[in-house]
Amino acid sequence: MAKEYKITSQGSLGLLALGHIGLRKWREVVAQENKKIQQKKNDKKEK
Amino acid sequence: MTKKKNKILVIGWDAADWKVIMPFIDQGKMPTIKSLMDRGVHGRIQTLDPPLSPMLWTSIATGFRADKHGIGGFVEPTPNGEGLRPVTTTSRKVKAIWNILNQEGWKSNVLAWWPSNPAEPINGVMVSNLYQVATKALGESWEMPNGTVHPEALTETMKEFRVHPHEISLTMSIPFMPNLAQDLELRKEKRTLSVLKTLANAATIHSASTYLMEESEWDFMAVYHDAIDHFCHTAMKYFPPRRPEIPEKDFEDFKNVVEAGYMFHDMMLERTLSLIDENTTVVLLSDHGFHSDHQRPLHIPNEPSGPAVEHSPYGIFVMAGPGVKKGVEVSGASVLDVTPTLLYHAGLAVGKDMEGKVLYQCFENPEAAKMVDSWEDIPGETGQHDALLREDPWAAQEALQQLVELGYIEALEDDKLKQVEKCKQENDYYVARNMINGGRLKPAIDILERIFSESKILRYGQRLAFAYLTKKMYMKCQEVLESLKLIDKEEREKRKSEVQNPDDPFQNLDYEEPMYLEYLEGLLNLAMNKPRLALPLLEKVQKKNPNNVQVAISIAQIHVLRKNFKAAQKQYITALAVDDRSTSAHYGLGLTFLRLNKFNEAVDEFLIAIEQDFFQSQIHYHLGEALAKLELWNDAVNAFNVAVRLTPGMTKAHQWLVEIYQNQLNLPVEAQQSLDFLNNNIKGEIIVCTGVDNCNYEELLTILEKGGVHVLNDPEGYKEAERMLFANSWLEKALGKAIYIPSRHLSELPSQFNYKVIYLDQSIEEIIPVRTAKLKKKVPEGTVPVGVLNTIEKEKFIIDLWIQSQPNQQVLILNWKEFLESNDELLNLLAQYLNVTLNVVEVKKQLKLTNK
Repeated sequence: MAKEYKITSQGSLGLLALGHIGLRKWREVVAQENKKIQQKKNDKKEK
Repeated sequence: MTKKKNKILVIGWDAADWKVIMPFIDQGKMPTIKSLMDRGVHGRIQTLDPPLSPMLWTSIATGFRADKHGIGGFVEPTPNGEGLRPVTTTSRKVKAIWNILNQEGWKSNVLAWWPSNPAEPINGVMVSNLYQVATKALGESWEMPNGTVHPEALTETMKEFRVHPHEISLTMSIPFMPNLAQDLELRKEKRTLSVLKTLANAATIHSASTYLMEESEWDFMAVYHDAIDHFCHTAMKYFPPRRPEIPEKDFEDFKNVVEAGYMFHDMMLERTLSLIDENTTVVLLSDHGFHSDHQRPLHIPNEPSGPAVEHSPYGIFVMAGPGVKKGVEVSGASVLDVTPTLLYHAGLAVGKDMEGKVLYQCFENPEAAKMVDSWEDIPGETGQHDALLREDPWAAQEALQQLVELGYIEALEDDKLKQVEKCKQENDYYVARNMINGGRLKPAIDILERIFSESKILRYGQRLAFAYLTKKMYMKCQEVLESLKLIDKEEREKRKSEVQNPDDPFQNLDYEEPMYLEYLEGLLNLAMNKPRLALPLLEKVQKKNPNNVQVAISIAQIHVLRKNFKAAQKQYITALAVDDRSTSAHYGLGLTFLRLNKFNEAVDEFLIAIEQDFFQSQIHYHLGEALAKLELWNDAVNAFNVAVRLTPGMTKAHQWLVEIYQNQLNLPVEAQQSLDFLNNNIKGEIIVCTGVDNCNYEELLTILEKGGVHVLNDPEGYKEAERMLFANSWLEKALGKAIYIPSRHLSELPSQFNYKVIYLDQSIEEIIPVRTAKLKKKVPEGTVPVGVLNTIEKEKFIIDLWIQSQPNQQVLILNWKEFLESNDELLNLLAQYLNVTLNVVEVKKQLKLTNK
């Protein structure tokens, strides 16, 4: 059975070693994380 | 168009070295390369000199050396000649393997090969070596220079896979530099940034390659990674064990970089191999190795390409796939062999003009390769450039800067034209070294003479002197050596006045200076048959460079020349303590065992040497000799047969074969084959009179002459021949005649003549008075001069040794005392032996005179 891994915004050497697929997955997580941070900033500003 | 075979994937790991990889495999840290080795062949691959990557990777991709393929160094002038740029594909003068495959209908992907900018318009995808270089800060527009990607339409897609160094997170960096977690200052360090940049570049190339492997159609794919070389240049000095010169903090900060770098490559390899099927042939190789042990230099020469001193002469070679042997170690591979071997494996013809060979030993059922005169003459759609393309000078400048940072090239001077001129000389220098490495001395000397006279750069002169030495142009060598001494003196004075940084161990350690001039002078003396002068010079060099294998081997060779086999043995063991895979040292050690009658030990050493380098015929020859001494006749015959297959003109091996086939194995037909060869190739016969030095050889020659034997009396010619180790044509003058050869020179006699040896056997009591009289020594009555006695015994030992090592050698031992008594039986024996009718009356007259 395939194991599930949690990808964090820090990424890992294992992700880089997966090549383009790992890179894309990691960057997706980074983008989501950045979006969340931006959202928080915006929310703060609105408040 | 030929029928397509299975796919081929070539992966280049610049500077990868078995000495680093093997311990990691043993520790389970590189499981993927281990599994690849298990399902294929692996071995060392010999680099070329100079070990510079653009030149080497082009040799790998073409099968040619630099003067033929045109890529000399790291940089080349821009088309307007006023500046420099990284070397380009447009400078390559011959087809690369992907161009040949292109015209044969193969579809190729080539990724980051050095050099591959501007990308060539092949049938497939080419992404150039400028692709991964970050030119802007993270977040700024990071454009790719023109010509980076072919086809151009793929440019936007490929941009996505570039990893910027600033994207590398702390989590990714920790395996390389664990102290980054708590040391904020370390994060700003130049070496840290260099590691991160290298890791980002590796991730970029890997991502692009996995994408192309999955998303494009291909028959041939070549991916080049420079990261191991870059990790090693940054941090191999901190690789465990720590040397006393390395500051402890630096060691702790960077000691994991090399290990993490190699492990990351193994992880990338695992992913890459998961994207191919079992019918794809994989070749994983490096262009040179990297010193990782006590051979690591402490001094990086402050000159262009200085960091290349860290490179070692053997890289890695692994090949697996259909038709390739499994789990076997192969030897004898050179970087020049890769293209011929891959063409053969692809079912295509090999160019006769290519300088490498097919590595048949890698294949299960090899057949002879098809050959063509030259692929250059076969027209077709090769996917090469039509004309020179212009490139973005800023991007090229950035790549150049990276080379400056790595220390491969000097920072540009203001005077760019001067810089271009210097660059041209430097490129010519590399090409000349590459020619010397390939045995083309004459054109190399022409180049070196020109650039040395233009520049007076010490390195150019040193290479010129070495080239003269190899070509036996000793007077020219001496001249250059003298002028180098003057230049060196001036440079040393200049260096003394420069302020040194006392904290930098890599700039100030004088004791690692190569001392080339003493080395050169020592080798020159050795070549000119002056071992007594050579030895102290080389010993001086060795004292300062105890880890220099070549110096130890040269000293050992002097001892061999002087028949001091025990002293030679010590030096070979010293060499092996530094590099236990040195073929020359194992061979030399074997030779000393052979001469000391330790035949089993000799066989062991020869077998190790052969395992390292199968193609040296003289090792097989001496293995045969040792086996013959052990009376293992069939094994000996096998060894001699390999020797003559590798060097068909090796007359001594044929002589041994005749001896064994005729007298031991009773195989007259086989004996006749070697006899036929000898009859067709031996130039004639020479009568060699020998004995201990200062024996009565002049008297013997006079007696022979009186008896009607032709004697060669040419003292001046003899002196010259002695200086040239009897390798010149002087011996041809002695054909059919008698000459005197002192015991110390017997082993230098070339094998294209037959020798009838007359060994003048005199007792110690007879020799001592003659010797002491000739040496003008006064010996008190009733005493024995021990020094003279020892010398005489040694000379007798040398003669016995030589006779024992000669196959089928006819030797007449002539007892001088009995001879002087005009013993008829002895005179008959002599006439019979020489196959002449002796004028016995004249001989007896002369004997009588001599006896008085």
